[in-house]
Amino acid sequence: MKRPRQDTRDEKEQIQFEQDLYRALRLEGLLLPETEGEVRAAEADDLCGAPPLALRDPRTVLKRVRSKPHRTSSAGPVASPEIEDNLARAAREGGKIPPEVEREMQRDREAAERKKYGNEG
Amino acid sequence: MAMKAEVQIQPVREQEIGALAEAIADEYFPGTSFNAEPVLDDCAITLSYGRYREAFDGMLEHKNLRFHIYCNLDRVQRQDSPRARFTVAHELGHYFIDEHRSALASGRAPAHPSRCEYESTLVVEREADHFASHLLMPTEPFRKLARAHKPGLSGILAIAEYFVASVTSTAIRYAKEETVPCVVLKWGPDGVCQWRWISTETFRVRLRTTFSDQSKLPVDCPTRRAISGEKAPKAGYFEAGTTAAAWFRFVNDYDYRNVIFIEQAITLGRFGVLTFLFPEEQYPLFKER
Repeated sequence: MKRPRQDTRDEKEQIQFEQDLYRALRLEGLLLPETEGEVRAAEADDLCGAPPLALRDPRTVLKRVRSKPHRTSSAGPVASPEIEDNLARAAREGGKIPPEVEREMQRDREAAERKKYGNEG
Repeated sequence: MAMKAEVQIQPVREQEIGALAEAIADEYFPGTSFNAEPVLDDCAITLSYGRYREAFDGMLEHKNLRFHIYCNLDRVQRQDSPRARFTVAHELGHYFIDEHRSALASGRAPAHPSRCEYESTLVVEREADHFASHLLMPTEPFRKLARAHKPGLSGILAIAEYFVASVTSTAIRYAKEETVPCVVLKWGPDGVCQWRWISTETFRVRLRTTFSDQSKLPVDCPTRRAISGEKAPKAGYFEAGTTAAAWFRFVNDYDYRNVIFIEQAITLGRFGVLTFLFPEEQYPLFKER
């Protein structure tokens, strides 16, 4: 009898492994049920209990999906030493601002802030 | 992906920054051209235009828990000039890119005078330039316009006019969008090549190193004519046919890459000259777009 070729045996082992892995994940509840039978079995196990309040209204979920990328206005915790170094380097390499220009900039800033915030600025 | 030898932003990062800028454009001025006012209002950022000599184009400063943008009219000329718009958009980039804002707001990095429009080779500046490019020129309308016009400077000028953007930033974006295989070169007023952008396709076919000394170029080529201050024709730029061998190092006359290019050059006033090179036709050497 002819022996099966090595690559055919490897393929069979691979298929067997994938089937075992799939079964194990399913048993552990790590895969979402897909077929009608699986859903019924999961419901019986109470794996598909009521969703959290935030997810009960589909409009809330859709709104979140369609929302724009979130941006923050505070300093936030985002830190990148590389970016900080780069910004510091930009400051060092940037043109030297003469003191009288700095004073003028300061005046312009104060005027802009007064205009925007009134006396609270 | 277009490239300049010195600076490379990671493609994923570049994509994120572009998407962020376009989301902001979509939120504050959907379907219309860049308008800083609603953004500044919403983010409580103040802005002043002033004559601050030659030190910088723009600057984002964080003081007393507030951000302020300075825009230097001595460099950008008018408040509504394309360069002024790009500068304000660039400074907004420093604000909206989390790592930049965070570093500035925390005091870990000082405010820095920015030279916009790809003059700086620092990554942070390039990131803010990239943000500005996408805030001013969102991808979809940009591509639509690029497809609707003839390749080259005539198309670039039309797009720049539509978005009220500068010729330089539009040309770089044109190269980055791979509209045609091309090279963009910027020459200083002294005739020295300051930088170049090479489209990915041009780079892929190993047309990579251009001559950076204008004296190596043919005497009456568009670039040298523009640098010499000659009056431009009616179209606003000089144009002539050239060859890859005339522009690229390591390409000899018999090289299969020695195809015919169109060379166009436009003067940018005090900022120098911009050269745009692209193949005359769709040669098999280049992948079909």
